[in-house]
Amino acid sequence: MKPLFFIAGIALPGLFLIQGGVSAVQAAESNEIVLYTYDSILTKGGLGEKLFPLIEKKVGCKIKALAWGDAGQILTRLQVDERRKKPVAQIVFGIDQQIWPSIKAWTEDWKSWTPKGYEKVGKNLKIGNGFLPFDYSFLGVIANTKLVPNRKPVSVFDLTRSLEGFNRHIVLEDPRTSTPGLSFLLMTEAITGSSFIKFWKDFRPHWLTIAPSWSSAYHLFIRGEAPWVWSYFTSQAYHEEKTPSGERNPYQVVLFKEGQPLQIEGVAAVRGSMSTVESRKRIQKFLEVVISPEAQALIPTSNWMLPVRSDVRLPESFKRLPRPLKVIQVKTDPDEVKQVLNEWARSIQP
Amino acid sequence: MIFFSALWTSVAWVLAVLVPLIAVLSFGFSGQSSAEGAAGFFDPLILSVVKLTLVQAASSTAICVLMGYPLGLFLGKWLQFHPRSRIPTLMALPYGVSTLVAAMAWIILLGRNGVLSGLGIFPDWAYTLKAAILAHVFLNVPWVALSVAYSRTQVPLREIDASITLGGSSWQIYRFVTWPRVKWGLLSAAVQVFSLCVMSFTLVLILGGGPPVETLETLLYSFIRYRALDIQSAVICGLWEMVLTLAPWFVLIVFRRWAQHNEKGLKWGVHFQPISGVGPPLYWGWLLSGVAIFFILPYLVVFSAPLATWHTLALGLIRGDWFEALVISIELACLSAALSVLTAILAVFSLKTLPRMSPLRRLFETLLTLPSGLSILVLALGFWLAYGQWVDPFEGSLAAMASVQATVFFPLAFRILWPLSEIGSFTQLDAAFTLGASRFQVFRWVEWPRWRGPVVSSIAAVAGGSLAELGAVSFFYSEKLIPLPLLISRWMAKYRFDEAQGLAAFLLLVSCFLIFFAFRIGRMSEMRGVLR
Amino acid sequence: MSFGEGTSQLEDFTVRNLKVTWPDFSLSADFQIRVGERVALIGKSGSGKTTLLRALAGLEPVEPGAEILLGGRNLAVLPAQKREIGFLFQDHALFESMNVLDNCTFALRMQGVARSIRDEEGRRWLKKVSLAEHALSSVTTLSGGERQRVAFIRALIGRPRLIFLDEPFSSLDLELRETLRREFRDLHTLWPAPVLLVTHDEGDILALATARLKLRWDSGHPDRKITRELTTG
Repeated sequence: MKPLFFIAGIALPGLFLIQGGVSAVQAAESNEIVLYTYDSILTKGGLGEKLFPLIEKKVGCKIKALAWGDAGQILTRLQVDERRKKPVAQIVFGIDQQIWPSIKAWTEDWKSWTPKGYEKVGKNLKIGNGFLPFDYSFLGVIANTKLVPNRKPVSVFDLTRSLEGFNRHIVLEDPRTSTPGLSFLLMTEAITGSSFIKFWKDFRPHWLTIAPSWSSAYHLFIRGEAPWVWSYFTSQAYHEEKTPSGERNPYQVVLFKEGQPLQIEGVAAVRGSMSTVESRKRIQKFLEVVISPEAQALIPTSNWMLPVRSDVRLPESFKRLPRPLKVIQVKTDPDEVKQVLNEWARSIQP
Repeated sequence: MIFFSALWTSVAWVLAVLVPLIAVLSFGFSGQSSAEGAAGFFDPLILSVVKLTLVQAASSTAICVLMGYPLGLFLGKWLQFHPRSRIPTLMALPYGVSTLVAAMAWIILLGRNGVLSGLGIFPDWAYTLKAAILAHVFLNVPWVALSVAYSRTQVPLREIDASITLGGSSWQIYRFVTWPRVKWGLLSAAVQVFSLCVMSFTLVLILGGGPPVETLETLLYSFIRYRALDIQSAVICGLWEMVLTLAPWFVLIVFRRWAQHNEKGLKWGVHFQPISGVGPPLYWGWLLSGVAIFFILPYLVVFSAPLATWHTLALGLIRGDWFEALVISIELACLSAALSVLTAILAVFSLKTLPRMSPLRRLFETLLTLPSGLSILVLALGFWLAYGQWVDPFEGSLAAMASVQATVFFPLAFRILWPLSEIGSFTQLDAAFTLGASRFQVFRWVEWPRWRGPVVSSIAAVAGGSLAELGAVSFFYSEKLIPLPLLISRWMAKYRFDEAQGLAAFLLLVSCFLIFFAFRIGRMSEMRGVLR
Repeated sequence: MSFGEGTSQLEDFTVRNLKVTWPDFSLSADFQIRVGERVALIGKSGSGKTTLLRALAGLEPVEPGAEILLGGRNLAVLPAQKREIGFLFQDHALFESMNVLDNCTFALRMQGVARSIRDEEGRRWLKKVSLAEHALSSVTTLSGGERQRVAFIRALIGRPRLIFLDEPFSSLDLELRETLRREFRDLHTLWPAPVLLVTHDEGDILALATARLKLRWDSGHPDRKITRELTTG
C-alpha cells in the first residue's frame, strides 16, 4: 500500500512536467511557427482548419496554434510569457484594432518592409505598421424580422424607448468581456458625448440582457428572446447562406442613422520572432500568404467576416450586405477606454 | 500509515490551496501600499456588488429554508418508517444538474418563446434577479429538505411517545423534542446554500441579465477575462467572497459549540434504526415523490430539441464529433474523483488519531473544508499564477484541471467520508481480531463494508460534479483538451444551438445517473456526511 | 468434524506475572484455569475486569515478562488473532454488514475453510439453537436473545482453546438467561475449553462458575490483584 502512495505522489507532478517539457522541445524546432489565436479560429469548420494547411504548404513550415478564450487573452498570454521569460509564440493571429494599442509593445513592426498584396487592402483597414489586417466586419443590430418587420434605419436614441410592443427589445454583450460589446459601448460614447450617462440610464429598462459573450447573446436572439441583437453585419450573410432556397432569411441588418463601428482583425509578429534572417523570411512569407487571394477567399464562409482585399470574389449573400451610413471612429486608447468602462459601470447601477 | 496519510494531506492542502491563494494575493497586491490595497476593498462599485450578492444569496436562502424545512420534516418522518425509500435519491438528483444546463433549461422555460409563454403564462422574469433566485431555489430546496430530513430521522420515536404520554401538545413536542435535533441540520444546510448562492456564477451570469445584476463571482470573472485583466480587483472580489461564505460557517461553528456545551445531556450521532409501529399514511410517499419530481421537472425541457438534432448528435458521436470531448470529460471526472476521494480517505485516517474535541482537530477540519468557501475561478487563477512557470497552461493540462476540481470537490468527499471515523465499532474490530483475522482481513471484511458505500458515493458525487463543472476547465483547456461543457459553449459560438442543447441534455442524463448511483449505493450514510 | 471432537487438544490455562498498567491503576494476576473449569472473575464496577480479559486476549498491552500459558505456549508473544480465544463481548459486537450465517462462520472463514463446508457447519449450529430460518437475515433484525446465541456460535464454532465471556447475559430477561446458561453449560460439556467469565450476576455465577477469581482493590491504592478463591457450584 505504502509504495503505491509514493509512486502516485511522484507521478502526479510528473504529469505537469511532461506536458511543460514537451511544449518547450517542440517550440525549439526550427521550421515551426507557433501562433496564438482565439478559440473559434481553431474549432472544427473554423478558419484555421483551411487556412493553416495552406500556409504550411506555401511557407514550408509547421504551424502550432495555441488558443485560449478570445482575442483579449492573447495579450494576457504574451504578458505571462514575459513574466516567465519564456517566449513561445512568433505570431499573434486574431487581434483587433481595439487591443492593438495595448498589444503593440509586444509585437515587431515591419520597418520598411510591406507584405506583398498589402496595397490591395482597403485604406481604412490599415491600422499601423506591424498590424496586418485579414478580415473585418461592421457591427450593428441584427433584427428578427418575424418579430419586428421594420428594417429602416433607426437612431441610437430609439434604443431608450420600447420597440413595437417590446419593452425589452435587444440583447447586448458585456463590454468588459466581449469585443462587440465594447464596440457598442464605445459607439454610444462617441455618439452621445456628454449625455452618455443619461443615455445609459434611460436605456437600462429596455435591454433584455447583457450576455457575457457574443455566442451566448446570439443564442438567445436565435431562440426568439428578443427581436434585436448586437452582432456582426455578416451574421445576415450567414443566415442567408443557411436559409433553404425559396425561403426568406428573417435575420436582417438594421442600420443606425448615426453610423456603425468597425471591427478589424489582424495578425502581427511577436517581438523577437524575426531575430534571424531565416525566421524573418518565414514570418514575412506567413504574412503574405494571409493576405493572398487564395487565403482571403476562405474568409467569408469559414470565419463569417469580410476579406480585407478588395479583389476577392464574395458570395452573393455578402454582396447583399448593406453599407453603413457612416463609419464611427471609437476610442482606442486603453486609459480612455477604461474610463468609459468605469463610467458605464457606475451609470447602470440602480 | 497514519504519518503518511497526514503528510500527504498536508502537502496536498499546501500545494492545492495555500500556494495558489498566496500567489493570487501577492500578485494582486504587489507594488501597492496597504492604504491603497485597503481602499480597493471599499470602492463604491465593489460595495454595491457586495450588497447585491448579499441580497441575492439571502433571498435565495430564505426561500429555500421556508420551502425546504417543512418538506424535510415530512420526509424525515416518512423515512423513519421507510428507510429504504427512493425518495431521497430522487431529491438528490438536482445536485447532478450542471449550472450551464440549468441556465439553458430556465431560458427555455421562462423566455419569451418559452414553455410557460406557450401556456399563456409570461412572468417576464427571464434576465432579472428573480430568474436567478428562482433557479437557485429549484437547485437548493431539495438539499435543505434532505439535510432536515436526515436530522428528523434522528428523533427517537420513544421520546415523542414519552412526550405524548406526559401531556405534550404538538407544538410542545416540536419545540422540546424535534427542534433540538433538527436545528443544526437546518442551520448547516442554510449556511451551505448561502455559500453556494454567494459563489453562484453561471446562473447569475446568464439568467440575471448581466450588469447591473452582478455578484462578486461574475464581477471577478469580468476582471480576469478579455482585455480587462485586473488581478487586483479580482483578488478583492475573491476576498470579499471568502468573507461572505466563511463568516457564516465560523459563526455556526462557534454558536454550535456554545449551544452543545449547554445541551450536555443530549445524545448526538445516534445510529439510524428502523422503527416499528404505525407510520405516516401511504399517500405521503406519493406526495413526497411528486414534490421530488417537481424539482427535477424544469431541467427536462432541455430534451425538447428537435428530433433531427438527436439524429445529428448520434451520427456525430459515431464520426467522432464529440466522442473525444466525452472521453476527456470521463477521464477528467475519474481523475478528479480519484484525487479528491483518496485525499479525503487519507485525511480521515490522519484526523482520527487526534482527540475528538481537541482544538487542533477542529482547526484541521476547518482548514480541510476551506476550499468549499473559495471561488473556483480564484483557485484556478492561483494555480495558473503559482505553477505557470513550470507548466504551460496554454498547452492544456488535464492534470491541472483535475487538481483544481479535486481541490474544490474535496470538501464534499471529506464530508461524506468523515462520519465513518466517528461511528466505527471498536468491539467489532476486536471481535474480528480474536476470531483470527489479520489486519488486512479485518479491513476487508469488517471495515470495508462500512466504507464501501460512502467511498463509492463520494466517487460518484465528485465525478458527477466534475462532469458539470466549467470554471477549472475554462482555465486549462487547449484545442486537444476540450471537455463536454466547454464543447457545448463552443458549439453555441458556431451557430450549432440545437446540437448544443442536445449535448446539454446528454450531460444532464449522465450527471444525474451518477448522482442517482451515488445515493443508492450510499443511502443515508452519505447524507449524514454531506450535511454536517 | 463434530463439535466434540478434538478435545484432547485442550490444555490448561496459566497466567503468571501478568501486569497491566494504566495511568491511574495497575492490575496484576497469577492464576490457573484447568480444562473443563468455568471460572468467574468478580470485583467492583470499574475495577478492571474487562481490561483483564482484553489484555489476556491481546487487545491491550501488558508489561514484559508476563506469561500467558496455554499448555506449553506463551500467548503473550502472539498477536490477538493467533491466540485461539473465543471472546463473547458485552455488546455482542456482531458484524452488522454480514448476515447471521456469515457472522457465525467468520472464524472458519479466517481459517480458510471452504464456503460450502463452513456454511454447512454454520447451519448445523444454527439449527441447534433454533435459528436456522434466520441464516440469511441481517443481524440487526434479531432480538437480544437471538443476537446472544449468534455471538455464542461465532465464538465457539472455531473450537477455541480458551473462552472468555464478558457479561454475556446482561441485557436479557430471567427466563432467557436461564435458557442460555443451560445451553452454554451443554456446549461446554462437549467442548470443555477453560472458561473465564466476567459477570455481576450472582445467578450467572451460581449457574455457571466452578471457581471464582477475586479482583482485590483497596480504594486509594493504585494496585489491584487477582487471586483465586475456592468456591462450590
